[in-house]
Amino acid sequence: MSDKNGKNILGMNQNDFNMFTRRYGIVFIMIAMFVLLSVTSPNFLKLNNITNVFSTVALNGVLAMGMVFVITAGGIDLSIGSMLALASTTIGITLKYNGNILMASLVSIIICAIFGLLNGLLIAKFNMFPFVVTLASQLVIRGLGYVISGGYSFALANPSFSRIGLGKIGIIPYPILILLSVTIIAYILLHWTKFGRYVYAVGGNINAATASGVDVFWTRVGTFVISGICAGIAGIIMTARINAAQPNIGVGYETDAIAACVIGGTSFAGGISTIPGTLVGIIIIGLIYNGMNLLGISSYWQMISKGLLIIGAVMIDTLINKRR
Amino acid sequence: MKKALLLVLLFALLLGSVMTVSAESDIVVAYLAKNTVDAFHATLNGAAKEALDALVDEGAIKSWQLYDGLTDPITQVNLIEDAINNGANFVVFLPAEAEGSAPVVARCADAGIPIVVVNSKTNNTDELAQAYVGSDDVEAGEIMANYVKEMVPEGGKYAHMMGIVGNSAQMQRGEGILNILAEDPTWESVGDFAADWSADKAVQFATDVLTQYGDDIKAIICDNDDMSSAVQAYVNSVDRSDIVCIGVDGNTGPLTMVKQGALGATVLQDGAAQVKTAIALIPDIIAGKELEEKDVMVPFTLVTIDNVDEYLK
Repeated sequence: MSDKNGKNILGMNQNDFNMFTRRYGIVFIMIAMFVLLSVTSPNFLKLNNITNVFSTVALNGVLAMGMVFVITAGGIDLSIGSMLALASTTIGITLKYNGNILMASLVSIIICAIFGLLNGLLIAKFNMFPFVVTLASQLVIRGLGYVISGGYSFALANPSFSRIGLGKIGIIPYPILILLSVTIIAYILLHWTKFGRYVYAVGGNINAATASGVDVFWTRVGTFVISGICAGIAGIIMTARINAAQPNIGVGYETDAIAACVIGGTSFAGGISTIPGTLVGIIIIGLIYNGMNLLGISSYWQMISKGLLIIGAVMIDTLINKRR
Repeated sequence: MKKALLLVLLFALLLGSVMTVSAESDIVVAYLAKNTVDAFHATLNGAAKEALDALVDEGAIKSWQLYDGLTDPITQVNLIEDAINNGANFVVFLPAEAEGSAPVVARCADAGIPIVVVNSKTNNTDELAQAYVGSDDVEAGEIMANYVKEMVPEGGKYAHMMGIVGNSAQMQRGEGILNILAEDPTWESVGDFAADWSADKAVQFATDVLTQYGDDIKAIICDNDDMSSAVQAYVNSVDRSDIVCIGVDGNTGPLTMVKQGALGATVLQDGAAQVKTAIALIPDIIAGKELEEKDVMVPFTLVTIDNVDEYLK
């Protein structure tokens, strides 16, 4: 295919250039946004604001790190917004009866992982569409959140839980450290392990993966469990930040996670993604929100910019796929 | 288009800074809205813009900016950081949630930034905020119940369409309704339905209620006007315009229905007055004056065909 491309762009042939833009194009957009915001807003580059941008994206970032596994394996998980609510109410109830922060955090992660497992089993075992399964399970999960909380939101019984959302080591807030840890683990898992290679194989071509002996069933299930675990962790950050158990929260949070993956170069066709790209995607979304708030541009325009950016990212993805 | 917007914005900023050079106030107000999409809050935000612009013109404050909370406590908790980084040193706050939005008030108290809470309280408003301006939702429930009693003196069965369960306005309006109708032996509730402030859900419940209880239903009381106007339109369409529907808010749509006679009444929550009252407190709070009352209550008003013209603009 590349033979017919005689022309060179920036000293690379067409194919190399495509790889280059796929890998690093989005990084340039992020840097351009940094520069633009530094020039237009005097408050942007202040240390407080930068840590604020990163603590704000930590929640969505952790969600996106789970989502990227699911999308890479050819799936989608719409239930993570509801899982945030279930995690939040679970933490509230556990703290009320037990008071142990570690226990509450673990229980919420385990519960979300179990629902991830159920999603994955339904999808992989019965070959149901991930979109439909998670669309339905999000109702079940949110409903459960309402059931165990009785529909009410309540303040946490152990106020020191909020340290997770507000505390710092040196100048770095905990949510950022959590995001970094999750990102590093996700990177190792997706890029360095056999499981990661299986995820790419299943997403790239499920039949070829089956034929070459990949454990397709547990690979698909595994991606949904990871998504659930990430939703549980994000639920901890969220609950700590608002210091309350809230069953009606997290509506629509899956969209930002999916958007971050797509902007970061994850292909909806499956089989293509990178963890650093996803991280850059989530930072770009954070910059849109923060930058426009600093410049005093209304949230209507934030929505429009985010939508346009996603369309642009998908368009690049489609164009590059067509060329290959 | 975005360029044009940016240019206009820069121009406005420039103009703002030129105007405030002579005024010398260094107060930057962050107006942290609950949202910018529903009709009630659009009215409120509009009134806030008018009042805050006026304060800028007078030189009482240097500038102000709206931050959109998207009805999400997490967003509000994030936005307060943006606002502080942006130099805000006074906050007018409309909480999305009583519990979840509480850290915003705590953050301001920590940073020593005065905050006035408007429309609904967070659970720490009483201890930490400089002032609260709102309305007593129990009163709204009582006004609705009394109106229903007045319209149908012989009594009967009624249904109650609730807002999102657990929301303070929902709970207090429900309490107000019970204060009046639970004591009245001629009235019987057929149930409280979780319609989540939403018109279509309320209509679905109303359909079921009419199927089950038919002519016994005399009134459907709703926690907001989106629901009451939709339910009234529905019952009118099935020849049951005798059913009394009433709700709270008094937005343009329901007020127009009252004027046309399609809806009997609505309980107006004067959001514009709430936010204007709150903004009027800013100069006093800056000057360090002791406020007469920390809680300022703006009364609800029953709007019927007799007085609708005063409120429909």
